[in-house]
Amino acid sequence: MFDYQIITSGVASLLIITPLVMLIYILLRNKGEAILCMECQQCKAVCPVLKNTDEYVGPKDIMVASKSGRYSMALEKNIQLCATCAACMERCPRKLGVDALLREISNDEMNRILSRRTIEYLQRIPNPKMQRTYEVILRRFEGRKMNIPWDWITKTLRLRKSYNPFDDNPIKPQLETQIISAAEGLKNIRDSIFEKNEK
Amino acid sequence: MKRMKNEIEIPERLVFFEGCTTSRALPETRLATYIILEKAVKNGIIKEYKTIPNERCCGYASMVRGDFKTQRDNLIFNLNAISRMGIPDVLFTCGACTQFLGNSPEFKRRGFRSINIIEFLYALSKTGDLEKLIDKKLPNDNKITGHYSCHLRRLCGIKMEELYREIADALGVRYVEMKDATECCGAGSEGEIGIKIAERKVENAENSGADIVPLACAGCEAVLTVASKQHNAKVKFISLSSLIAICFDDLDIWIDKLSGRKLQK
Repeated sequence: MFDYQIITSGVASLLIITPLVMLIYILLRNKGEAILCMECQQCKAVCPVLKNTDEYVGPKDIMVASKSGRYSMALEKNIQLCATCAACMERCPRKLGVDALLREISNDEMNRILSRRTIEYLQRIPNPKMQRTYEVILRRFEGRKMNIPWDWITKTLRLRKSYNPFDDNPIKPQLETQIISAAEGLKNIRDSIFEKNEK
Repeated sequence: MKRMKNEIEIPERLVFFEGCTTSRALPETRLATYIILEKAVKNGIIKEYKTIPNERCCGYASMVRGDFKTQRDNLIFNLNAISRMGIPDVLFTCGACTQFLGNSPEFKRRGFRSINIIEFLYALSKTGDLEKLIDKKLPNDNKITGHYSCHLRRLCGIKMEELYREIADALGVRYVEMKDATECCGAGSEGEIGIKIAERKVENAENSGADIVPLACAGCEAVLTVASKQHNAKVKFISLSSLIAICFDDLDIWIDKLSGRKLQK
Protein backbone atom coordinates (compact mmCIF):
# COMPACT_ATOMS: atom_id res chain seq x y z
CA MET A 1 0.00 0.00 0.00
CA PHE A 2 2.64 2.55 1.05
CA ASP A 3 5.90 3.05 -0.68
CA TYR A 4 8.08 3.01 2.40
CA GLN A 5 11.19 3.79 0.41
CA ILE A 6 9.85 7.16 -0.71
CA ILE A 7 8.73 8.07 2.78
CA THR A 8 12.06 7.19 4.40
CA SER A 9 14.04 9.02 1.73
CA GLY A 10 11.76 12.02 2.21
CA VAL A 11 12.38 12.00 5.95
CA ALA A 12 16.11 11.62 5.40
CA SER A 13 16.24 14.52 2.99
CA LEU A 14 14.25 16.66 5.43
CA LEU A 15 16.72 15.81 8.16
CA ILE A 16 19.54 17.03 5.96
CA ILE A 17 17.84 20.06 4.47
CA THR A 18 16.40 21.56 7.67
CA PRO A 19 19.73 22.13 9.46
CA LEU A 20 21.18 23.50 6.21
CA VAL A 21 18.36 26.00 5.85
CA MET A 22 18.71 26.97 9.50
CA LEU A 23 22.44 27.46 9.07
CA ILE A 24 21.94 29.68 6.03
CA TYR A 25 19.31 31.64 7.95
CA ILE A 26 21.67 32.22 10.87
CA LEU A 27 24.47 33.27 8.53
CA LEU A 28 22.19 35.71 6.77
CA ARG A 29 20.93 37.08 10.03
CA ASN A 30 24.41 37.86 11.26
CA LYS A 31 26.01 38.95 8.01
CA GLY A 32 23.43 40.38 5.68
CA GLU A 33 20.49 41.64 7.66
CA ALA A 34 19.30 43.67 4.71
CA ILE A 35 18.22 40.55 2.83
CA LEU A 36 15.66 39.88 5.54
CA CYS A 37 14.04 43.31 5.12
CA MET A 38 10.53 42.94 3.70
CA GLU A 39 10.13 46.68 2.98
CA CYS A 40 7.02 47.12 5.08
CA GLN A 41 7.98 50.82 5.56
CA GLN A 42 7.09 50.86 9.24
CA CYS A 43 10.52 52.31 9.97
CA LYS A 44 9.75 55.34 7.82
CA ALA A 45 6.83 56.19 10.08
CA VAL A 46 8.94 56.45 13.22
CA CYS A 47 12.15 57.98 11.84
CA PRO A 48 12.62 61.39 13.57
CA VAL A 49 14.78 62.74 10.73
CA LEU A 50 12.24 61.91 8.04
CA LYS A 51 9.60 63.79 10.01
CA ASN A 52 11.64 66.97 9.61
CA THR A 53 13.16 66.71 6.15
CA ASP A 54 12.57 65.04 2.81
CA GLU A 55 16.23 65.12 1.86
CA TYR A 56 17.17 62.15 4.00
CA VAL A 57 17.30 58.72 2.43
CA GLY A 58 15.36 56.97 5.20
CA PRO A 59 15.89 53.60 6.89
CA LYS A 60 13.95 51.58 4.34
CA ASP A 61 15.97 52.93 1.44
CA ILE A 62 19.22 52.23 3.29
CA MET A 63 18.05 48.63 3.49
CA VAL A 64 17.24 48.65 -0.22
CA ALA A 65 20.61 50.20 -1.09
CA SER A 66 22.38 47.62 1.01
CA LYS A 67 20.37 44.80 -0.54
CA SER A 68 20.93 45.90 -4.12
CA GLY A 69 24.53 46.96 -3.60
CA ARG A 70 23.93 50.43 -5.05
CA TYR A 71 25.47 52.28 -2.15
CA SER A 72 25.80 55.57 -4.01
CA MET A 73 21.99 55.77 -4.04
CA ALA A 74 22.02 56.12 -0.26
CA LEU A 75 25.08 58.38 -0.11
CA GLU A 76 23.66 60.90 -2.54
CA LYS A 77 20.66 61.36 -0.26
CA ASN A 78 22.41 62.53 2.94
CA ILE A 79 23.01 59.27 4.71
CA GLN A 80 24.98 61.15 7.40
CA LEU A 81 21.77 62.70 8.76
CA CYS A 82 20.87 59.44 10.54
CA ALA A 83 20.45 60.18 14.24
CA THR A 84 21.36 56.58 15.26
CA CYS A 85 18.36 56.57 17.60
CA ALA A 86 17.40 52.98 16.70
CA ALA A 87 13.71 53.87 16.59
CA CYS A 88 13.50 51.96 13.31
CA MET A 89 15.04 48.92 14.95
CA GLU A 90 12.49 49.01 17.75
CA ARG A 91 9.58 49.29 15.34
CA CYS A 92 10.83 46.73 12.79
CA PRO A 93 8.86 43.46 12.98
CA ARG A 94 12.11 41.60 12.42
CA LYS A 95 14.21 43.86 14.66
CA LEU A 96 16.67 44.67 11.90
CA GLY A 97 19.19 47.36 12.74
CA VAL A 98 20.00 50.02 10.21
CA ASP A 99 23.12 51.38 11.92
CA ALA A 100 25.46 48.52 11.05
CA LEU A 101 24.46 48.72 7.37
CA LEU A 102 24.90 52.47 7.42
CA ARG A 103 28.44 52.11 8.67
CA GLU A 104 29.15 49.45 6.08
CA ILE A 105 27.93 51.76 3.33
CA SER A 106 29.99 54.69 4.61
CA ASN A 107 33.06 52.53 4.96
CA ASP A 108 32.67 50.97 1.54
CA GLU A 109 32.12 54.30 -0.16
CA MET A 110 35.10 55.78 1.60
CA ASN A 111 37.31 52.93 0.52
CA ARG A 112 35.95 52.86 -3.02
CA ILE A 113 36.38 56.51 -3.86
CA LEU A 114 39.59 57.11 -2.02
CA SER A 115 42.05 54.58 -0.81
CA ARG A 116 43.33 54.86 2.71
CA ARG A 117 46.64 56.22 1.46
CA THR A 118 44.91 58.99 -0.43
CA ILE A 119 43.07 60.08 2.68
CA GLU A 120 46.30 60.22 4.62
CA TYR A 121 47.83 62.25 1.80
CA LEU A 122 44.84 64.58 1.70
CA GLN A 123 45.21 65.21 5.39
CA ARG A 124 48.47 67.00 4.67
CA ILE A 125 46.87 69.35 2.15
CA PRO A 126 45.73 72.42 4.03
CA ASN A 127 44.65 74.36 0.96
CA PRO A 128 41.18 73.60 -0.41
CA LYS A 129 42.29 74.71 -3.89
CA MET A 130 44.92 72.04 -3.87
CA GLN A 131 42.28 69.54 -2.91
CA ARG A 132 40.28 70.57 -5.98
CA THR A 133 43.32 69.99 -8.17
CA TYR A 134 43.78 66.65 -6.60
CA GLU A 135 40.17 65.83 -7.26
CA VAL A 136 40.61 66.52 -11.00
CA ILE A 137 43.66 64.28 -11.14
CA LEU A 138 41.88 61.62 -9.19
CA ARG A 139 38.91 61.63 -11.53
CA ARG A 140 41.12 61.28 -14.57
CA PHE A 141 42.82 58.33 -12.99
CA GLU A 142 39.61 56.74 -11.90
CA GLY A 143 38.28 57.15 -15.43
CA ARG A 144 34.69 57.61 -14.46
CA LYS A 145 32.38 60.50 -13.85
CA MET A 146 31.28 60.65 -10.28
CA ASN A 147 30.65 63.29 -7.68
CA ILE A 148 33.20 63.03 -4.95
CA PRO A 149 31.46 64.06 -1.72
CA TRP A 150 34.04 66.59 -0.56
CA ASP A 151 31.97 67.93 2.29
CA TRP A 152 31.66 64.49 3.67
CA ILE A 153 35.35 63.76 3.28
CA THR A 154 36.49 67.00 4.88
CA LYS A 155 34.20 66.37 7.83
CA THR A 156 35.68 62.92 8.21
CA LEU A 157 39.18 64.34 8.02
CA ARG A 158 38.34 66.93 10.64
CA LEU A 159 37.06 64.21 12.93
CA ARG A 160 40.14 62.14 12.30
CA LYS A 161 42.32 65.10 13.08
CA SER A 162 40.68 65.95 16.37
CA TYR A 163 40.73 62.38 17.63
CA ASN A 164 43.95 61.41 15.97
CA PRO A 165 45.02 58.09 17.46
CA PHE A 166 48.67 58.63 16.58
CA ASP A 167 48.96 61.76 18.65
CA ASP A 168 50.94 61.09 21.81
CA ASN A 169 50.02 64.33 23.52
CA PRO A 170 47.00 64.28 25.78
CA ILE A 171 44.27 65.88 23.69
CA LYS A 172 41.69 66.07 26.42
CA PRO A 173 41.70 69.56 28.00
CA GLN A 174 42.68 69.56 31.64
CA LEU A 175 40.00 70.26 34.23
CA GLU A 176 42.08 73.12 35.67
CA THR A 177 41.71 75.13 32.47
CA GLN A 178 37.92 74.89 32.57
CA ILE A 179 37.24 75.06 36.27
CA ILE A 180 36.47 78.79 36.58
CA SER A 181 33.79 78.83 33.90
CA ALA A 182 32.49 75.47 35.10
CA ALA A 183 32.19 76.70 38.68
CA GLU A 184 30.34 79.81 37.53
CA GLY A 185 27.94 77.70 35.49
CA LEU A 186 27.24 75.35 38.39
CA LYS A 187 26.65 78.22 40.81
CA ASN A 188 24.29 79.87 38.32
CA ILE A 189 22.27 76.67 38.06
CA ARG A 190 22.13 76.38 41.84
CA ASP A 191 21.03 79.97 42.33
CA SER A 192 18.38 79.77 39.64
CA ILE A 193 16.83 76.68 41.21
CA PHE A 194 17.09 77.50 44.90
CA GLU A 195 16.53 81.24 44.86
CA LYS A 196 13.43 81.04 42.71
CA ASN A 197 11.78 79.34 45.64
CA GLU A 198 12.74 82.02 48.16
CA LYS A 199 11.26 84.88 46.18
CA MET B 1 21.68 43.08 26.78
CA LYS B 2 18.85 43.78 29.18
CA ARG B 3 20.01 44.72 32.60
CA MET B 4 17.71 44.26 35.55
CA LYS B 5 17.68 46.64 38.49
CA ASN B 6 19.05 44.04 40.87
CA GLU B 7 22.21 43.73 38.84
CA ILE B 8 23.28 47.30 39.45
CA GLU B 9 25.67 47.29 42.37
CA ILE B 10 27.87 50.07 43.63
CA PRO B 11 31.43 49.23 42.63
CA GLU B 12 34.24 49.74 45.13
CA ARG B 13 36.59 51.24 42.59
CA LEU B 14 35.72 52.73 39.24
CA VAL B 15 37.18 54.41 36.19
CA PHE B 16 35.52 57.64 35.13
CA PHE B 17 35.49 57.75 31.32
CA GLU B 18 34.74 61.38 30.54
CA GLY B 19 34.06 61.24 26.83
CA CYS B 20 34.65 63.96 24.27
CA THR B 21 31.41 65.90 24.71
CA THR B 22 31.64 66.09 28.48
CA SER B 23 35.30 67.01 28.62
CA ARG B 24 35.17 69.58 25.80
CA ALA B 25 31.71 71.07 25.60
CA LEU B 26 30.12 70.58 29.03
CA PRO B 27 32.54 71.71 31.78
CA GLU B 28 29.73 71.97 34.37
CA THR B 29 28.80 68.34 33.99
CA ARG B 30 32.43 67.35 34.17
CA LEU B 31 33.10 69.33 37.33
CA ALA B 32 29.86 68.14 38.96
CA THR B 33 30.70 64.50 38.31
CA TYR B 34 34.16 64.98 39.81
CA ILE B 35 32.61 66.57 42.89
CA ILE B 36 30.12 63.70 43.31
CA LEU B 37 32.88 61.13 43.02
CA GLU B 38 35.17 63.02 45.40
CA LYS B 39 32.40 63.27 47.96
CA ALA B 40 31.50 59.60 47.50
CA VAL B 41 35.12 58.69 48.24
CA LYS B 42 35.11 60.91 51.34
CA ASN B 43 31.86 59.38 52.60
CA GLY B 44 33.20 55.88 52.02
CA ILE B 45 30.65 54.88 49.39
CA ILE B 46 33.38 54.04 46.86
CA LYS B 47 37.01 53.47 47.68
CA GLU B 48 38.62 55.32 44.81
CA TYR B 49 38.07 56.53 41.28
CA LYS B 50 40.50 57.03 38.44
CA THR B 51 40.46 58.80 35.10
CA ILE B 52 42.33 58.08 31.89
CA PRO B 53 44.77 60.99 31.46
CA ASN B 54 45.10 60.90 27.68
CA GLU B 55 41.74 59.40 26.94
CA ARG B 56 40.60 59.19 23.34
CA CYS B 57 37.21 59.26 21.69
CA CYS B 58 35.24 56.07 22.30
CA GLY B 59 35.20 55.62 18.52
CA TYR B 60 31.54 56.37 17.95
CA ALA B 61 32.28 59.49 15.90
CA SER B 62 34.62 57.63 13.57
CA MET B 63 32.37 54.60 13.37
CA VAL B 64 29.32 56.43 12.06
CA ARG B 65 31.52 57.85 9.32
CA GLY B 66 32.69 54.40 8.36
CA ASP B 67 36.25 54.90 9.58
CA PHE B 68 36.68 51.49 11.14
CA LYS B 69 40.45 51.63 11.59
CA THR B 70 40.46 54.76 13.74
CA GLN B 71 37.60 53.34 15.76
CA ARG B 72 39.48 50.12 16.40
CA ASP B 73 42.69 51.98 17.34
CA ASN B 74 40.84 54.21 19.78
CA LEU B 75 38.95 51.31 21.31
CA ILE B 76 42.09 49.27 21.92
CA PHE B 77 43.96 52.28 23.31
CA ASN B 78 41.21 53.08 25.80
CA LEU B 79 40.67 49.47 26.83
CA ASN B 80 44.40 48.94 27.33
CA ALA B 81 44.52 52.02 29.55
CA ILE B 82 41.61 50.70 31.62
CA SER B 83 43.16 47.22 31.78
CA ARG B 84 46.39 48.67 33.13
CA MET B 85 44.49 50.26 36.01
CA GLY B 86 42.97 46.89 36.84
CA ILE B 87 39.50 48.28 37.50
CA PRO B 88 36.65 46.55 35.63
CA ASP B 89 33.88 49.10 36.29
CA VAL B 90 33.68 52.11 33.98
CA LEU B 91 31.43 55.09 34.67
CA PHE B 92 30.12 57.14 31.76
CA THR B 93 28.30 60.44 31.62
CA CYS B 94 27.42 59.99 27.95
CA GLY B 95 24.84 57.68 26.44
CA ALA B 96 26.70 57.11 23.20
CA CYS B 97 29.88 56.06 25.03
CA THR B 98 27.89 53.81 27.38
CA GLN B 99 26.27 52.06 24.48
CA PHE B 100 29.15 52.02 22.06
CA LEU B 101 31.93 50.96 24.42
CA GLY B 102 29.68 48.90 26.67
CA ASN B 103 28.18 46.83 23.87
CA SER B 104 31.43 46.30 21.96
CA PRO B 105 32.57 42.65 21.96
CA GLU B 106 36.13 43.51 23.02
CA PHE B 107 34.84 45.39 26.08
CA LYS B 108 32.73 42.42 27.13
CA ARG B 109 35.52 39.93 26.41
CA ARG B 110 37.81 41.70 28.84
CA GLY B 111 35.14 41.44 31.52
CA PHE B 112 34.49 45.17 31.93
CA ARG B 113 31.15 46.54 33.05
CA SER B 114 29.70 49.82 31.83
CA ILE B 115 27.76 51.96 34.27
CA ASN B 116 25.93 55.08 33.23
CA ILE B 117 25.62 57.95 35.69
CA ILE B 118 21.86 57.34 36.00
CA GLU B 119 22.44 53.71 36.97
CA PHE B 120 25.08 54.77 39.47
CA LEU B 121 22.79 57.31 41.11
CA TYR B 122 19.91 54.81 41.10
CA ALA B 123 22.07 52.27 42.87
CA LEU B 124 23.09 54.91 45.42
CA SER B 125 19.46 55.85 46.09
CA LYS B 126 18.41 52.20 46.40
CA THR B 127 20.93 51.63 49.16
CA GLY B 128 20.09 54.98 50.77
CA ASP B 129 23.54 56.40 50.14
CA LEU B 130 22.24 59.18 47.93
CA GLU B 131 20.25 60.69 50.78
CA LYS B 132 23.34 60.64 52.96
CA LEU B 133 25.38 62.19 50.15
CA ILE B 134 23.15 65.20 49.51
CA ASP B 135 22.83 67.84 52.22
CA LYS B 136 19.52 69.35 51.17
CA LYS B 137 16.67 68.35 48.94
CA LEU B 138 15.41 70.34 45.99
CA PRO B 139 12.59 72.86 46.61
CA ASN B 140 9.25 71.03 46.91
CA ASP B 141 7.42 72.89 44.17
CA ASN B 142 9.91 71.81 41.51
CA LYS B 143 8.89 69.12 39.09
CA ILE B 144 11.26 67.07 37.02
CA THR B 145 10.64 65.14 33.86
CA GLY B 146 12.78 62.57 32.15
CA HIS B 147 14.11 62.37 28.63
CA TYR B 148 14.78 58.75 27.76
CA SER B 149 18.00 58.72 25.79
CA CYS B 150 17.77 56.46 22.74
CA HIS B 151 21.15 54.87 23.27
CA LEU B 152 20.46 54.09 26.91
CA ARG B 153 16.88 52.91 26.58
CA ARG B 154 16.82 51.12 23.24
CA LEU B 155 20.37 49.91 22.85
CA CYS B 156 21.47 49.34 26.46
CA GLY B 157 18.03 48.26 27.71
CA ILE B 158 18.04 50.52 30.76
CA LYS B 159 14.58 51.13 32.21
CA MET B 160 14.86 54.91 32.27
CA GLU B 161 11.47 55.76 33.76
CA GLU B 162 11.96 53.58 36.81
CA LEU B 163 15.40 55.03 37.47
CA TYR B 164 14.21 58.62 37.01
CA ARG B 165 11.32 58.10 39.41
CA GLU B 166 13.58 56.63 42.07
CA ILE B 167 16.05 59.53 41.81
CA ALA B 168 13.20 62.07 41.89
CA ASP B 169 11.91 60.46 45.09
CA ALA B 170 15.35 60.64 46.64
CA LEU B 171 15.62 64.34 45.76
CA GLY B 172 12.15 65.06 47.15
CA VAL B 173 10.53 66.34 43.97
CA ARG B 174 7.58 65.22 41.88
CA TYR B 175 8.15 63.35 38.65
CA VAL B 176 5.92 64.17 35.68
CA GLU B 177 5.80 62.33 32.40
CA MET B 178 6.68 64.15 29.19
CA LYS B 179 4.80 63.52 25.96
CA ASP B 180 6.91 61.40 23.60
CA ALA B 181 9.68 61.03 26.16
CA THR B 182 11.20 58.20 24.17
CA GLU B 183 11.59 60.29 21.01
CA CYS B 184 15.07 61.16 19.75
CA CYS B 185 16.63 64.51 20.72
CA GLY B 186 18.40 64.92 17.39
CA ALA B 187 21.96 64.86 18.72
CA GLY B 188 23.00 62.09 16.37
CA SER B 189 21.80 63.98 13.34
CA GLU B 190 23.52 67.01 11.87
CA GLY B 191 23.12 70.78 11.83
CA GLU B 192 19.68 72.28 11.36
CA ILE B 193 17.85 68.98 11.23
CA GLY B 194 19.20 68.07 14.66
CA ILE B 195 18.04 71.39 16.09
CA LYS B 196 14.61 70.95 14.46
CA ILE B 197 14.18 67.58 16.15
CA ALA B 198 15.41 69.04 19.44
CA GLU B 199 12.90 71.90 19.26
CA ARG B 200 10.04 69.43 19.31
CA LYS B 201 11.57 67.88 22.39
CA VAL B 202 11.85 71.28 24.09
CA GLU B 203 8.20 72.01 23.30
CA ASN B 204 7.10 68.71 24.80
CA ALA B 205 9.19 69.37 27.91
CA GLU B 206 7.60 72.81 28.34
CA ASN B 207 4.09 71.46 27.90
CA SER B 208 4.67 68.80 30.53
CA GLY B 209 4.83 71.54 33.18
CA ALA B 210 8.21 70.49 34.53
CA ASP B 211 10.93 72.89 35.67
CA ILE B 212 13.99 70.73 35.22
CA VAL B 213 14.89 68.00 32.74
CA PRO B 214 17.89 66.12 34.15
CA LEU B 215 19.78 64.28 31.41
CA ALA B 216 21.94 61.20 31.56
CA CYS B 217 23.52 61.68 28.13
CA ALA B 218 26.03 64.39 27.24
CA GLY B 219 25.04 64.40 23.57
CA CYS B 220 21.41 65.09 24.42
CA GLU B 221 22.44 67.81 26.85
CA ALA B 222 24.62 69.57 24.30
CA VAL B 223 21.95 69.78 21.62
CA LEU B 224 18.98 70.42 23.93
CA THR B 225 20.65 73.37 25.71
CA VAL B 226 21.25 75.00 22.32
CA ALA B 227 17.66 74.38 21.22
CA SER B 228 16.18 75.62 24.50
CA LYS B 229 18.20 78.85 24.26
CA GLN B 230 16.91 79.44 20.74
CA HIS B 231 13.39 78.70 21.93
CA ASN B 232 13.73 80.88 25.09
CA ALA B 233 12.37 77.99 27.08
CA LYS B 234 11.76 78.26 30.83
CA VAL B 235 12.53 74.61 31.44
CA LYS B 236 16.15 73.87 32.32
CA PHE B 237 18.09 71.11 30.62
CA ILE B 238 20.90 70.14 32.97
CA SER B 239 22.82 66.97 33.56
CA LEU B 240 21.95 64.60 36.39
CA SER B 241 25.41 65.18 37.88
CA SER B 242 24.81 68.93 38.10
CA LEU B 243 21.40 68.31 39.68
CA ILE B 244 22.98 66.21 42.43
CA ALA B 245 25.98 68.51 42.89
CA ILE B 246 23.85 71.62 43.50
CA CYS B 247 22.24 69.81 46.44
CA PHE B 248 25.59 69.84 48.27
CA ASP B 249 26.05 72.52 50.91
CA ASP B 250 29.82 72.34 50.58
CA LEU B 251 29.84 72.80 46.82
CA ASP B 252 32.11 75.87 46.98
CA ILE B 253 34.62 74.05 49.19
CA TRP B 254 34.79 71.16 46.75
CA ILE B 255 35.32 73.50 43.81
CA ASP B 256 38.18 75.17 45.67
CA LYS B 257 39.66 71.80 46.53
CA LEU B 258 39.51 70.56 42.94
CA SER B 259 40.99 73.72 41.49
CA GLY B 260 43.82 73.56 44.03
CA ARG B 261 43.48 77.21 44.98
CA LYS B 262 40.96 79.62 46.44
CA LEU B 263 38.57 80.87 43.79
CA GLN B 264 36.88 84.25 44.03
CA LYS B 265 33.23 84.18 44.87
